[in-house]
Amino acid sequence: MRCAARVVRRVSLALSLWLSVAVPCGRSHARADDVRIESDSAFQAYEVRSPGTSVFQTRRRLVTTAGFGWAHALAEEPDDAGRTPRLTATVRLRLTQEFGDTCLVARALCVRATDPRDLAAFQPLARDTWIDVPTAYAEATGLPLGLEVRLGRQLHHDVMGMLRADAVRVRVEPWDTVALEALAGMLVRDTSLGGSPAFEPIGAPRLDVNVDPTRASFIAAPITTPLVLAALELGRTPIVRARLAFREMRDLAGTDPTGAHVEGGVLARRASLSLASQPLDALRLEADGVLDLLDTGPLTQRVIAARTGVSVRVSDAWRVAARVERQVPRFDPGSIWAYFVTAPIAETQLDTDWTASERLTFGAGLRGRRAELGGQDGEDVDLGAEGRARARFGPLGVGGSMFVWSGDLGPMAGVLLDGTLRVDRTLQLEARVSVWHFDDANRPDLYGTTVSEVVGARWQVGDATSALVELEHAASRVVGHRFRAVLALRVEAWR
Amino acid sequence: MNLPPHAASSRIAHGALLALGLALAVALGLTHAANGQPRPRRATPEGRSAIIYPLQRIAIRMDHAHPAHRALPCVQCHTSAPASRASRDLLIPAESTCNPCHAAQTDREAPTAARCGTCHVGYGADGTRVVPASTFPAPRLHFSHATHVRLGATCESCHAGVRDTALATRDHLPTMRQCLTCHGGARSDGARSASSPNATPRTTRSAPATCTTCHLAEPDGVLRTRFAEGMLTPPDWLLGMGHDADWIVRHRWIGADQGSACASCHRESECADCHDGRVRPRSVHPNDYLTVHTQEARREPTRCASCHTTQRFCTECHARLGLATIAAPAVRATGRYHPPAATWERAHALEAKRSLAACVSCHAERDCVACHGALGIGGGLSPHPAGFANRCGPLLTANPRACVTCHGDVGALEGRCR
Repeated sequence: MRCAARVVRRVSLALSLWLSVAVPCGRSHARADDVRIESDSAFQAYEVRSPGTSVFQTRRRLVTTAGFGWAHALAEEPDDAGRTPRLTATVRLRLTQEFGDTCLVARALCVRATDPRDLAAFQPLARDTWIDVPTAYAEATGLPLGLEVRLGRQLHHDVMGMLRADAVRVRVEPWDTVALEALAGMLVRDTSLGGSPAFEPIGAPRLDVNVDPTRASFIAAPITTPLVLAALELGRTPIVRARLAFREMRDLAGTDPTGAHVEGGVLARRASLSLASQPLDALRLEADGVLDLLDTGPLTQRVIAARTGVSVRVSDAWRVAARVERQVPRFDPGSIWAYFVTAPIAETQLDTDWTASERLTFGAGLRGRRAELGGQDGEDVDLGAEGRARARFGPLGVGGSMFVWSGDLGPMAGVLLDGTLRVDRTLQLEARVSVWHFDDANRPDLYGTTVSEVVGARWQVGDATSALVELEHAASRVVGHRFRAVLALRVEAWR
Repeated sequence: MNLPPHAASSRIAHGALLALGLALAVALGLTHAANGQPRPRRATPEGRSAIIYPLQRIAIRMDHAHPAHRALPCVQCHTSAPASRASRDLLIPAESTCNPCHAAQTDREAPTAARCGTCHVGYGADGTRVVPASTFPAPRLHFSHATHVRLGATCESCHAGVRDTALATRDHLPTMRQCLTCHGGARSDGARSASSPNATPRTTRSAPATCTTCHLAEPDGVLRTRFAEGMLTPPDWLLGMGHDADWIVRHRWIGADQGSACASCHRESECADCHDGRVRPRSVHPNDYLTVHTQEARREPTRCASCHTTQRFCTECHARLGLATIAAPAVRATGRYHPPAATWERAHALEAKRSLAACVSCHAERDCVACHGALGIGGGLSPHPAGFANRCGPLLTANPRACVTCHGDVGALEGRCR
């Protein structure tokens, strides 16, 4: 297994490098069959340190993706509805490689957290090499009746949240005002083949079978989670558009690497309704809610997310928006976290944007946050304000933003100034300065002000390739001086 | 690591830095507002996108409103327009088109500044002659005049007001709202009033309203949005999708409800680039976010979870730093992370209510089970709310794993849970 991982790692590295070098600048004309290649690579070097410990991490992290896309048009011209039937396929391979160590201060001792032979240092959750396949699907679109079919590893997003699944998704839109969508498959977990934990619900960490469970008793066994999802969309936005959706995910019972029985159960069973209306160009109304069908508590706990918002364009240059949002944090019902009382959080936001001219824009907002702690604990109330401005003078762009929070969660404030200077069509220089003030109520020694400066440059090498170099310095009484360097390269081209 | 205590001078310095930053932010706006420069044209929803219609340089004198010009049908001069099938076709009349009426001015045997200056700018009264070339970059659209003419559209259906103006500019090219009057008929209210009532085409059939009907797309059908002039973004009136400063917050709701609209311009990989939590997006996490992330995690735990899986992303780092209880012995912190035990014993329950996700970022289930597990497994301090036994039956049936973690024997629970 380790040998295979090494081979895959080398292949993906080689592929990324090849893409970066071999793809010439320029765009080719579309043909019946088109191939898209892409690569994103980012290397970061910085140190992570926390007050209260003598440990810091020397992060030397490379994240690189190699992607491949294919498109084949099934017809020369679109049909009467403007749809062009098309077959596409997309695959992305991602490598995350950590070159740093975990050291004690002053480098008196550096240890490898990923070395299982080092009993004093081994951390099962840590890994030096991480290869996953975030996307791999084939799709047919533009078919009659608005039929779309997608098969493979894909993301899905609705008001119930984002998830990644190995699934088949079918969507049909026979009329402008009606659409049906269904998805069935398996939730992608960290323990899935080429998987990642990005969209798993908060619960117990799960690792694959390569980790000795006796060395990590806090880790749960791998589990398989089938899911189904269905949605109905009705209407269209000038009047009212509604989307009603249902989602169920269920962990299958199994055995852990030691052969012990692992309980299965429902991971989530939820329904959602979202409504949107835009009766006038200048007025938009939105509302949505998510109902937890597993919970049997009071309705205020079962409606785990609700939001309503209104946006009014008072004039061509002035927009005002208001939102009220309520969240009840939810956790994997297979973990004990799901059984603790958590405070529903309500947020109210009032925002306005003013476009003074094509070169100058302003924005400001007020925030209110209320957490219902319940019983004798009462509630947390916090108020915040923020402002922003952005201006452009030819090749020079400058912007500023600030925020202030005060209340039961303690004070927090920050100012961020940034500027960009376009030297020519290919080169842009960037700079940012920020000042944050913070005071952590849970950490007696975690308070202070951090000042940070960043300088960088973006280079558009050609139509297909761009590069970024960034250097950051931050200083605070908490961790002293900290430096970070970022190098990024992006290649994207159709051939 | 031992750190120095609070110092009054430090607080003053912090305050001064904050005040300086605020002053800079305010001054940035005030100095610009007061600089006395002529105000540039205000951006309005009616404004033409410089990406769709790249900026033109029109070094020609032309008066469409001149009675002699008004009397002519448009095709008299724009002869090739009715048959044009591509937006890149140059439909500006050639000089020869003007000859029948302007022969005297176009006589190349006897050119004078006055004659040439009839149509061309750049001929000064003092004899100077700097005649710039006109440039008409092709619109970045699919457009067939022939199709529209065949379906009954008139010139002023799309180019309203040209007859009443001197020079026809980008402002006389149709906006997306005007296009959508016929294409899908989605915005017949606002769009129709935005143009002349007479400008409504005679066609009664709804034209296709897919994005790629007009916009340039990559071979996989995703719209081209990156151009030398910048990113092509949708207007606010279109499904509320204006990519303004608030968009970083709002996009999750629009995307959740109308993901297929987002997919017109964005591939799935763009979502994953941020939401997979691998590479720090600078637009979301500003400078030195590492130092202040604890504050935001406590304030907005659900937002962190939209990109970071708490029990993996957060815990791994906290464990490697020695902060988490699951840290390896060689690196585990020796000092106390939280406030003194005497106060934390009561306060930790409140903090768990506030942000349980923050607890999960360091603690494993076993840490809590030690006290909150049922007697025999833990200390027997129940975390459940009052009356829980009356409603826990369905939860036990749906997913017993958590029950087993604290109570062990599910069989015994089945009798107690209703």
